[in-house]
Amino acid sequence: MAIGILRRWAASAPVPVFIARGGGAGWRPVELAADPRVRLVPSPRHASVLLAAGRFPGPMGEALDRVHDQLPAPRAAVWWTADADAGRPAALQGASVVPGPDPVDRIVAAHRATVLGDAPSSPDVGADVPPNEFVGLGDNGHGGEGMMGGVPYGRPMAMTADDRDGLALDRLSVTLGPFLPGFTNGLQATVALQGGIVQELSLDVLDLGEGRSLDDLAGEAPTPWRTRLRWLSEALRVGGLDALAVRTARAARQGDEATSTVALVRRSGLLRSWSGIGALDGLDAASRLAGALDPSGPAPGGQADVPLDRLAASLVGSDWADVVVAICSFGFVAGENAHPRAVHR
Amino acid sequence: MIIVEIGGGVGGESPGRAQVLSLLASLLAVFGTTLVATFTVVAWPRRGAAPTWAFRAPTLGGGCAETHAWSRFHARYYPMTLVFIAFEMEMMFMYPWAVVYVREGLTALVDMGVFLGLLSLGILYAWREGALRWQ
Repeated sequence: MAIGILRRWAASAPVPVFIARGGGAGWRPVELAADPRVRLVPSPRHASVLLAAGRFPGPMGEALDRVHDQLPAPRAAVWWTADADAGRPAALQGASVVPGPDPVDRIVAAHRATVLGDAPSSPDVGADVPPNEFVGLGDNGHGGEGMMGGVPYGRPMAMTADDRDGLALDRLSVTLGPFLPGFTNGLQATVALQGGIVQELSLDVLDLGEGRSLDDLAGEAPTPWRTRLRWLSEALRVGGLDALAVRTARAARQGDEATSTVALVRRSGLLRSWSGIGALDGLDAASRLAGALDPSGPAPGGQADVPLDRLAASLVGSDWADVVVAICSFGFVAGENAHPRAVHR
Repeated sequence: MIIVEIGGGVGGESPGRAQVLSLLASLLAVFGTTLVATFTVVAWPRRGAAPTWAFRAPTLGGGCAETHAWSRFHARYYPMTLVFIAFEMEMMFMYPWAVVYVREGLTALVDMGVFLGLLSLGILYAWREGALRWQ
């Protein structure tokens, strides 16, 4: 009985949603933060519902499959798309499709159904096997050359390399994105980290396919100011100012001037914390943010070719938080559906 | 009719109060054990499935890891820790010295002065060698 009551309370609480933005989604899903029935979370581990917004062809679909499996059970998936006829990724085989402008009703219904047990939890896409083979010299995958042999839990240990202080630290190679807070659609970062400092960085854009955008579902193109506010809401979330992000999302949805919100953002200290990060062509992240806050500043999506190769080169030696801020600050000028043409570093 | 004596006699508490306390402790133990057993019996069939390999993959926003996440970070506070321990032992010697200082007078002052002087040479050496520089 007590557990039944707890389940009903859990079902009626704001739904923690992780948004994966695909092709054609742009920054539009960020406006969902304005609805009190949902709560946008930065990690799939905190989410109950996966909202897949847009198109997910090829590698984007594979990345979505990985993120889907990382949501804790019971979980549900909802696909918000203007191209329901396009290829459906494996993670969304059992997902309900939202062809309309607002997915919140469907999200809440899916959450309630899974928590109350009316619908089964979305099953894993990936197989229940270790990612790499457990192979070493011994029977349990252990052993090898020296102290670094073997592949514990199926992945090789990070080998050492020299770092900036003349020490030899382990060098982690990892691929991050495309579904990270602040990342533009399809952006993936391949990074080599030593103790939190980036030693190598390569920024790629995955194929987003061709088709309609989510704004087409609403029947009208968003105003430039509304686009600014959407991106600003995401940037505020990256900066840790969640309440201000919700307020900005509300202003974007209502289409108002939001002068008081913009004034709060200017006073919040975000500009100061972003200064000096991601400097490129005379502008740093704070300058780009200031440009976005100014109605007479650069237009959203005004720069189709973001120099990702030069940006990656400039970010080597900084820590990962600065890299995320720098990438997020370019999200405004890169526009909603721009495909930044990049040369791999 | 049960009469419980309240108030202690010479040399300790009354037997009645001790009995009440032990009875309460027993009831509490039984209640606690029953509560734990009930929750276990009710919740055990409802536990979730063991996490799969797909769930246990590191959360990278859709990316994948090529190496294991176990890695070493440089303990940049290590030289400072060694210096601290060395001079902490110096302070340990000063505590008993402070107790007898007034009684021993000038002798104690000179002895401790020599001791501190020698250790100050150690500080100067460490300073010259860069042990006090934060990495």
